[in-house]
Amino acid sequence: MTWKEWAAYRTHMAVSLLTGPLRFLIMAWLWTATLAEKGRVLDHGREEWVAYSGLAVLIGYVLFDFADWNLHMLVRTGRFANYLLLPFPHLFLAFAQKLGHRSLALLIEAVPVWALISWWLGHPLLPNNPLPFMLSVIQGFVLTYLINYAVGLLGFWMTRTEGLRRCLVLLRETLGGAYLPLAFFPLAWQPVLFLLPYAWALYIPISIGLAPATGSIAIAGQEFTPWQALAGQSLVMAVWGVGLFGLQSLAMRRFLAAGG
Amino acid sequence: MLGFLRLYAHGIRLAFLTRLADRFDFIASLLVMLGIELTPTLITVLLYGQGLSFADWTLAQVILVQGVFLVGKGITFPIFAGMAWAVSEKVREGTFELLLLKPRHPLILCLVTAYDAEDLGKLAGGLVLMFFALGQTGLPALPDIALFLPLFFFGLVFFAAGLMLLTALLMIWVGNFRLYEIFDTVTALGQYPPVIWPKRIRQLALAPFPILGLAVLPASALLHKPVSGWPWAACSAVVLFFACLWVWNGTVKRLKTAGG
Repeated sequence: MTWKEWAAYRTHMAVSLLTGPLRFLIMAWLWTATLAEKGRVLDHGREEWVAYSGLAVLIGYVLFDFADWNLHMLVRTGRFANYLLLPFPHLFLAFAQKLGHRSLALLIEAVPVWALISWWLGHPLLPNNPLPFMLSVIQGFVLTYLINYAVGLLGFWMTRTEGLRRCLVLLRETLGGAYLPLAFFPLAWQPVLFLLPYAWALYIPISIGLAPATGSIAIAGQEFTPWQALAGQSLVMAVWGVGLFGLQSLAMRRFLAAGG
Repeated sequence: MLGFLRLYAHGIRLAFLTRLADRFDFIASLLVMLGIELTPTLITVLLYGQGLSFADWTLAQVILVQGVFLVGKGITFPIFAGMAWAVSEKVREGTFELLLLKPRHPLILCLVTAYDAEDLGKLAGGLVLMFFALGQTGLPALPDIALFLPLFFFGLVFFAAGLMLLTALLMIWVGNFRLYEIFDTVTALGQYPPVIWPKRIRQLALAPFPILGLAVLPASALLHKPVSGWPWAACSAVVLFFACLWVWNGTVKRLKTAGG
């Protein structure tokens, strides 16, 4: 279903073919302009940071989500009532939709952009630690969805959340490490960054993909192995999942009260 | 002209009153519009914080570029950017013809009805950045300011040209709001010192696509840095402006809708 629906909007997705590489290009040029070829900062060389930016764009495609917008639209227009009649929760249906349009995006957006980035780097961009990397991308995918669905649930309490939601998208991108690696933020901020779920959704998968097999990932100044980071991500996901179910049942009561 | 200004003032007043209906959302939007625009500044500050730098540019100087960019955006976006969104919605709903019936040029009517108050956050933020940066670098001499003003004006012309083209494209390519993203990503390149451009294509950023003219040239004038090639940027901004105006008029003429 979602495949068919979104194939109709393929030009929408094709826009990413332009913006994705451009964003990558900007970051790649920033690294080249500020870092000498053999220069190192925070224990990584220029090429590794360029690879970071490439992975950030690609994983961004996979994680991209608008469950919040969709849910809010359904609630505001009252169409959400239709979904209450279905024999399974909307939470599940929306997830299936996300799976659909992201797998389509993987073909239309991610693969061509991956080829472009690999061409720029001069070698195929392949993640280290393939197994934990794959797992953490999957977990990041679920986590992003959980976060956004929770934001969408706010629609049950507020009528216009446009501004608030854009605020949160901005936080998600910046604090998730989409622009600059979180390691660049002052050490004093780091515990806060990792208390928020955003870092776990995007930054952790990228870090696992970049860390050498025997290397470690710095989380708020502490060193962890890729597998430990993955476990931490599962924990965050579980906490959000439980919280979301609580919030959802509250929201449902609220909705019945209004739609009654 | 006086009639136009009166009409325009009315449009602005209306825009403010509409947005004030939901104050919380308006304030959140204002802040977020500003927050999004401050991302490059955050990136720059973090890069400099780790000891990286653009060759021959101090942190305050780069922030001045970004401040000038934001002021330019803060002036042109409230006037022109709302138009792109509003026109696309009107074409989709089929209410655009109503504008064509009114006794003014459609472009003027679009401008009047689509003043975008929330983009004023950019202007405020830009002014703060500019004054902060100038406080660090020292006040510019009078001849430098005299050079800055025309260069800044040509930057505004280029911004306006881009937004008009965007509106014209949205009339054809209805509902594809992601075109905004393309515009933003391309112009984002104008927020960093020219050293990020590879030498071979730096000339292209002066003419025919004067992205450097958006902020880098005016800021360089203030900083007494070389502004070679600015006549190229100025000429191409003016040419592009009239070309986009021509495209705009052409699209309105060719626009066919059910209302015909």
